[in-house]
Amino acid sequence: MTTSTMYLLATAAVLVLTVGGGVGLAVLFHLGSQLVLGDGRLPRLVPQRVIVPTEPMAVLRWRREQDEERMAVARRVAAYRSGATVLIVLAALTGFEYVMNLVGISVFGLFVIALVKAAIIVHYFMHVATVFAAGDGH
Amino acid sequence: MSGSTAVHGEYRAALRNNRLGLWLFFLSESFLFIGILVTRFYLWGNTRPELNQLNGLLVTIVLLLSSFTMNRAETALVQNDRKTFLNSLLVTVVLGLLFLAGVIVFEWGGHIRPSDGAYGAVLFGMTGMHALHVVSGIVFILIVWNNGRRGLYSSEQHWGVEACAIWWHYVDLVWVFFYPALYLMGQAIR
Amino acid sequence: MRTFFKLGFVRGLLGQVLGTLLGMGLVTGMRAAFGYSPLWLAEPAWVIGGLLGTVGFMVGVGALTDWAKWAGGLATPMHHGAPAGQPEWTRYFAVDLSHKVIGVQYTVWGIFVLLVGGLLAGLFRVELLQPGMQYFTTDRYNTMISAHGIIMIAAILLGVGGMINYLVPLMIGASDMAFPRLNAFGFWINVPASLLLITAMFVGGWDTGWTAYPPNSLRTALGGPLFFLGFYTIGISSIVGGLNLLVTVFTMRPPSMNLFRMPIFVWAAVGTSILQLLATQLVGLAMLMLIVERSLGMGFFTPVLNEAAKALNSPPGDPVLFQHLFWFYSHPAVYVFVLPGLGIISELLPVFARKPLFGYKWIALSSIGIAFLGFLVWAHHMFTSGMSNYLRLPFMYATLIIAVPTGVKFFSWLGTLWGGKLTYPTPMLFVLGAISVFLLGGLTGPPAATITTDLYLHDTYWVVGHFHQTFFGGFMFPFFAAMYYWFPKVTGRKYNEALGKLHFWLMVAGFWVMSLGQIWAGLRGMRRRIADYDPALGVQNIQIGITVAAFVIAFSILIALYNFIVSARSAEVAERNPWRSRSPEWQIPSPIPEHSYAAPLAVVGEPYDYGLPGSVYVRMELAGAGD
Repeated sequence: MTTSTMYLLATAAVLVLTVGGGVGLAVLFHLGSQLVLGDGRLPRLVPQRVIVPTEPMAVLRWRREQDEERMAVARRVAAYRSGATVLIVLAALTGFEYVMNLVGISVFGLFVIALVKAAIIVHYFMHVATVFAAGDGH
Repeated sequence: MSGSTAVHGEYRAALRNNRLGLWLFFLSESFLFIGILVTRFYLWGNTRPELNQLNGLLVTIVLLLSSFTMNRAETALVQNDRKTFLNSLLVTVVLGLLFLAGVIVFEWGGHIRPSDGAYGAVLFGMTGMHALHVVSGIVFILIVWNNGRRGLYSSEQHWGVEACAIWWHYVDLVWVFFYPALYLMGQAIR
Repeated sequence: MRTFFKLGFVRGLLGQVLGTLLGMGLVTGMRAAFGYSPLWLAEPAWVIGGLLGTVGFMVGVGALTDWAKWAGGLATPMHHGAPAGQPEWTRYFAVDLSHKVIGVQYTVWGIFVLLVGGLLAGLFRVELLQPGMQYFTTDRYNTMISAHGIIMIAAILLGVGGMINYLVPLMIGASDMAFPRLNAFGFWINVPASLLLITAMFVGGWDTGWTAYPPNSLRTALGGPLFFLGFYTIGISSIVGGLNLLVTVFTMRPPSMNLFRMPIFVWAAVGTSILQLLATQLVGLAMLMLIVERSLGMGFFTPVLNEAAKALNSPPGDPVLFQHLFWFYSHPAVYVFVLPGLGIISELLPVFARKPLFGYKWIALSSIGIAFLGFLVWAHHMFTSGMSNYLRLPFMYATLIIAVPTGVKFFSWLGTLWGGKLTYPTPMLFVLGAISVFLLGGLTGPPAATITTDLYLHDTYWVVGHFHQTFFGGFMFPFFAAMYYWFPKVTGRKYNEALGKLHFWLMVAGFWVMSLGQIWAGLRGMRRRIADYDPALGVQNIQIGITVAAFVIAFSILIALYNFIVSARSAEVAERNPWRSRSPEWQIPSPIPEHSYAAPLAVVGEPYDYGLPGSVYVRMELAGAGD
């Protein structure tokens, strides 16, 4: 095997690995982010066939339904996403306090970080505001 | 029609009482945990025993993840997504058990015994009292999961799920303070 | 007989016995399984047995049934009235969800526990009649004073619970407490707890006093851990009771009753409940730490290190930590005991003076003020404990500041009495007696709170005299005032006025003699918690006086019980509102029907405008009655 062939093969391997790995990672990331950030369902890889009506009133109704559905999806996505955002922030703060402790941080500083984390949990996860609401909704 | 409105009104009044009551209980429990933290600082001062840092970070992350899945379960119920609701509850239970395993098997199985001076007493006191609450949370989640499986909660009326969720978050909240108090604050003494 | 075995109380007792045996069997069985010897180790067996016994009682009595059903997804509709197919009186011996029944249960069980505590006091007072040991060993004596302390505290908490549970929902026009099942749980858990405390006296006793200071409490006999467990269990009742009351007051008032139109007793109950809810956790923690230190060797309070701890370079435990945790509850606990009593005084004075309550807002806020200041004074019990010197001054000043909100109450009472059209039926006598006795307690407090004098007064009879004055003035006298005042409301019958007055005069005279005797003995150097004293101290005559006075008080309380029991069974039927009170609970029939109010109250005026023509506090629809 000549040197140039080896170079060719090596380049091809690197290309395949990077592109393939990149695509694979992207798919994984996409699926994962859909799971974590999306509406909680695996996305359809093959889009559903949509039959668009032609009669004018039906078109209007179809568009309204489409809008409502999109809004509902958006609300659902937002609800799930806020939980994930809180998770990411809390994890980052935990990592931050761990690293800062290696660097050197005072007890007071650690307490401040813990208080920030606690405030986030109490507000976003425990919905403390509902205590002061007059018993409506969950 | 008026009957169902009355039921709904009753439910709302009960919900208001329940929420206030549970939060007052959190306030009360906070005094318990503050008392334990005070004990830690009173006895340990600015020192701490040498503990397995990796284990501490891992259990913290696991508990944080379980808080997230609990939140996800509650959100799913509100969105009428029963499957995600039930699955997330089970994932939370598994994560809670992992946390317990991390504490009981790896932390309690380390080189410190409960009878080893203030280090042993406070370490086992803090983790033990917290683990007790984790166990209560896991039992609570299993009850809610069982009732959820039988369709007893709707997206409008699910105080049981809400109580279970914020109880679990409260257990996580306690750990937010216990983790740095046990693993990070002060000088590690060998 | 079948009715007897269907009573929740009897089933609870059976459950407690079975649970205790189960716990002991569990411990012994596990020791057998792991091959330890000896198989029987009394302390863990009794601790686990006591714990499971308490659970067994709660299961047996049925306090957990509804929650178990909820966990199983079953609905549990509210049940009103006696258990199906049982006579009406059985309600009082079973889990019942009505706050009126629970209030009576609290009060009756409280009086029973009070009698047990009083009996102990009578016994050890006899021992103190002369120097030297005559009737008891020193250990037995120490067990009795320790048990007297904690059992009386349990009795006071029960009495407070009784007054609050019965009165507050009626006063704010609520149908019941916010959490009726939690309310029943909060009462019933007291029963196994009291039984644990009583059992503790018979399995070796304990000689630490009710304060359980380590290291003594770590070495004391087997009664110690049972006492810690009983104390802890009573604490659970306090916590859930306080929680329940706060939610009730905050969410179940009628919309027209704003905070400053609540009856004044409700304010006092709120102050008490804040303290119960928050502070009790700390003493629970302290008791738990004692239990685990004794059973697992976790050295929270032991300043000595073992070899393994030395190898870890671990710091040692510290007994003073216990005192901090303990007094963080146990000082506020004093305000838990007295605030409702002071509330009763403020509630009753305007009725019998026929005048508006002087400075309503100030009294209301002073209750909350006392509650919050109460959190900041605990270390005044520890001036001689060896804690850091710089802590002493702030705690002294904080303690002296408590006199300000208390003084506010006194001046308001005087302002209410001033120029009133006073009448003196028994409840009013008890109110005035309470004021006089509490004043005495207020005057003997500052010398004990000031560091310089406390260094000498600490652990003497002065302190004993002081806290008996505050407990009698803040709880016992107002409690009896409330008993006489609401007796016609609860039973629908009149009590015997002559016996009531006899009770009052005996009790107030007996108390003043007993209390001044204690103060005097304390000044002469008599230590508290000592079974014997040196004749050269010259306190024997004082001790005789104290003992005689204590028996007079005990006799007067027996008169009261006779009065209550006989009157409730056969006395003349009382009119609906004998005291011409404006409070809503007096506008409905006595005894109160199952559903107190037909419709929510409408508050249209100030609560205490007595003697102002044409003023109205509440308007209401009466249940079923045409008048």
